[in-house]
Amino acid sequence: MNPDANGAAYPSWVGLTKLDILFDYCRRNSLWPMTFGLACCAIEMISAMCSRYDMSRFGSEVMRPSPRQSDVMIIAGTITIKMAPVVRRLYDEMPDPKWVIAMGSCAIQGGPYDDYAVLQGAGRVVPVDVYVSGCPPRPEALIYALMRLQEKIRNPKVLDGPAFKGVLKDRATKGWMAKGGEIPEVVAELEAKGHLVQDGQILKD
Amino acid sequence: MADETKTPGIPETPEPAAKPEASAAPASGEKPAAAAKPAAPAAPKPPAGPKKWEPTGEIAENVPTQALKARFPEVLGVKSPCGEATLLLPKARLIEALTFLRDDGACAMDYLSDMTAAHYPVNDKKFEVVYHCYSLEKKHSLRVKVQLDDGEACPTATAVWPGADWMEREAHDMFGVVFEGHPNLKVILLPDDFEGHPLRKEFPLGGAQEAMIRTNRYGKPVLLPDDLEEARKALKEPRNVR
Amino acid sequence: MSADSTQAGSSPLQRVMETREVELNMGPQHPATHGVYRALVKLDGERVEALESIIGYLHRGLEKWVEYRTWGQATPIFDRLDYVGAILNCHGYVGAVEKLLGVEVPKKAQYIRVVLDELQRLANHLLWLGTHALDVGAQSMLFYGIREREPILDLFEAMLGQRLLQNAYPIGGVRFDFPKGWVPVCRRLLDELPKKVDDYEGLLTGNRIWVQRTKGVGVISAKDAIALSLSGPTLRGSGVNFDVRKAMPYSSYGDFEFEIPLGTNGDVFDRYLCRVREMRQSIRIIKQALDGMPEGELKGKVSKIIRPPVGEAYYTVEAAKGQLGYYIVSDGGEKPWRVHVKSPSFVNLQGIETMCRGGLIADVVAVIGSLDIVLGEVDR
Repeated sequence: MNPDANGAAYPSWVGLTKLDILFDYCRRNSLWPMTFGLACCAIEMISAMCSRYDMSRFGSEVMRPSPRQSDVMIIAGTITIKMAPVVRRLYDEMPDPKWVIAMGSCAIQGGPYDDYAVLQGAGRVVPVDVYVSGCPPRPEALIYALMRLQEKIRNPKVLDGPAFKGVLKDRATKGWMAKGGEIPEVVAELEAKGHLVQDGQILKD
Repeated sequence: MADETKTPGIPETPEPAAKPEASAAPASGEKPAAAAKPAAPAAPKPPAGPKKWEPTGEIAENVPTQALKARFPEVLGVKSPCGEATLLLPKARLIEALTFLRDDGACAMDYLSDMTAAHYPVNDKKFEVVYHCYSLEKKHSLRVKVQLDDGEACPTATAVWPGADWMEREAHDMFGVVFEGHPNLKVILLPDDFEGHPLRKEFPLGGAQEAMIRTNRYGKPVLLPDDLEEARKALKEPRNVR
Repeated sequence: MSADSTQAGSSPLQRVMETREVELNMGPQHPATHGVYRALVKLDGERVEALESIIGYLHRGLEKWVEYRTWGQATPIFDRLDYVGAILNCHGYVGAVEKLLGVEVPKKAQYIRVVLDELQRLANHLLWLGTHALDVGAQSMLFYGIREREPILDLFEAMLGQRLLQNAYPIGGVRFDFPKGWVPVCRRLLDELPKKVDDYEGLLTGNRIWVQRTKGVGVISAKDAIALSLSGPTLRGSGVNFDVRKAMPYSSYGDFEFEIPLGTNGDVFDRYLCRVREMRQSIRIIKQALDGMPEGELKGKVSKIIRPPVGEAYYTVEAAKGQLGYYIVSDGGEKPWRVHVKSPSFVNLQGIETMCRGGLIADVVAVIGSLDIVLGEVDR
């Protein structure tokens, strides 16, 4: 009998946990993707599901074509502006909890297509959780993305860590450091040149 | 051969909603070499007159060209640098000529390989519709062209080759060329509410999103110079496009 | 078929059993449409009366994008057209530019191009077989097809650096010769592949369910097929002998001995057989090319900045889906003036209404698979 903090004693074969942790364990280990292959990345996604780079080892047992039965939407390929409402609608049709992996550079920010017909990134219509870069990313990269998503589901606080910083919005090109992380020598050098540095941003030249 | 710098209709105002749906002739005539290239030295080039698009090479002949010339004396041969037989037809005789090509025993061009259009703002007649015909049994090919003004309609070739159906819809989408007699001239590749015809030369690459793509992809200027002022100046200059 | 319930004296049973025409949307997101293709199918019960295709969900503005890049910079984007058979697209574009420039590609480079092209055709047909069989119902074929494809992609990675979308050819020739040890691995693959293809044919060709689902389905006559400008195995399934490799030989295809498989009825089963037999012919071509590989330069003489003379050119190759044509117009500058891609999937897709009309809704899926469309190519 192992007494716990409150003094109550349970046999060793009794475990205590929060229901949330148990649910998260189940969720992250059975993420069923929705077949949302749009373009070239879809071929690598199919390869990732098949024999050599088997994604079902990680829980993505089947790819459900129906959004109602899937957890993860892997946006593999270019989103055009004709397709963007469809993407949003499919995302809305997925039941919670749901996640999105943006696979390939077209889904991240429009890929090489800076033109009239391509949406510059899936992040403009759906909230994306994991970005996988590559054109197309290797199947192993997609599996790694799935593993990172599993980490994220397990521990949402990992979002505050440096790896999940995300795109730096509205910072001048020299805004390189998070608040509190400035290197004093570099700051001194910039101030000597006449810039005004505050919170890792160069506010005025 | 110097490129003619044609500035695209990048909207002056920052709102991306202003789409440059300019008709070809007046807009492109106004913006020739007077707008200096970004890297140009001090003196701008003297405004040259618009040059016609003149292919180099020779006029090639083969069985279909000779048969067609015998039957329709008003066709013109077009020069081609790699020896491809190309003919220029007047629009009025187009369908007659294509039907002749398909039915004639010596030509027997029963296969339409490709059909497309092109925009030449420098020419007198701005648009060209191009048909690539091929004969499966005789194995010869021919390119047939028609020149059209902006707004002029072209007769449809779906009666001759039903395969031209979607190809004409695409040319209509991309260039705005209307094909008379087409059974279903609807938008095919673009969204239903798209305004403008993308493959025209005055349509900017980014279309409605041009200002956003060029400036705001990640909330910072695309050119990433050290100086934000420099970046703003570079953005005012148009992209190098003909 | 549809009982008119407004007739006086119609029984309740007639009123209940009345069928109306249903318009079914096989939407842009569908497991069996091979991409973002939308079909509006008008059904009477289960019979298809009309089918309207709505495409454009993957229109990326390639033809406009290319006008803003130099001739050499534009090469990688054409891989993204038919992303399953990328090397063949690249070959078409560089062939068109070489034709306009008048550059002579050395013989050795031509043979290397043939080897890579035919390997890509094999990879394409294996993926096609897997997905087509998956759609019709034979789910395990997907895993077999992809499993066979992986060694071919490994070969590409060893030689060109990428599995898919390799940007294989520069204008003028090829970049690299075969690496050390590549050719024996390739030969070993070519020895094992025919046995596997025989296995898969054994799984499907004699299979009663497969035959029932594909024979007599999606029939198109030769005359209709020629009139609609179909090409590739879609056309050859109807018995029309048109293969660009034999009709307008390019890149030394005239040196090799191979057959063009033809079908008779123009149905899904014949198109399937055409493609499987084409796989065997591809293996034959690669073996001949590797055996007869000449010595020589890898690249013809091309200047650093490519400026073709003013004019136009049209160059076709036999891509994995059909006749892929590039119409390029140059104004003498370093950027293209106009590039138009005649994509076989776009033109082949026009035939879908003729093929599906009168059939069952389940046959639409089989027909889409047999057309072998890739939406990147359809929409460009």
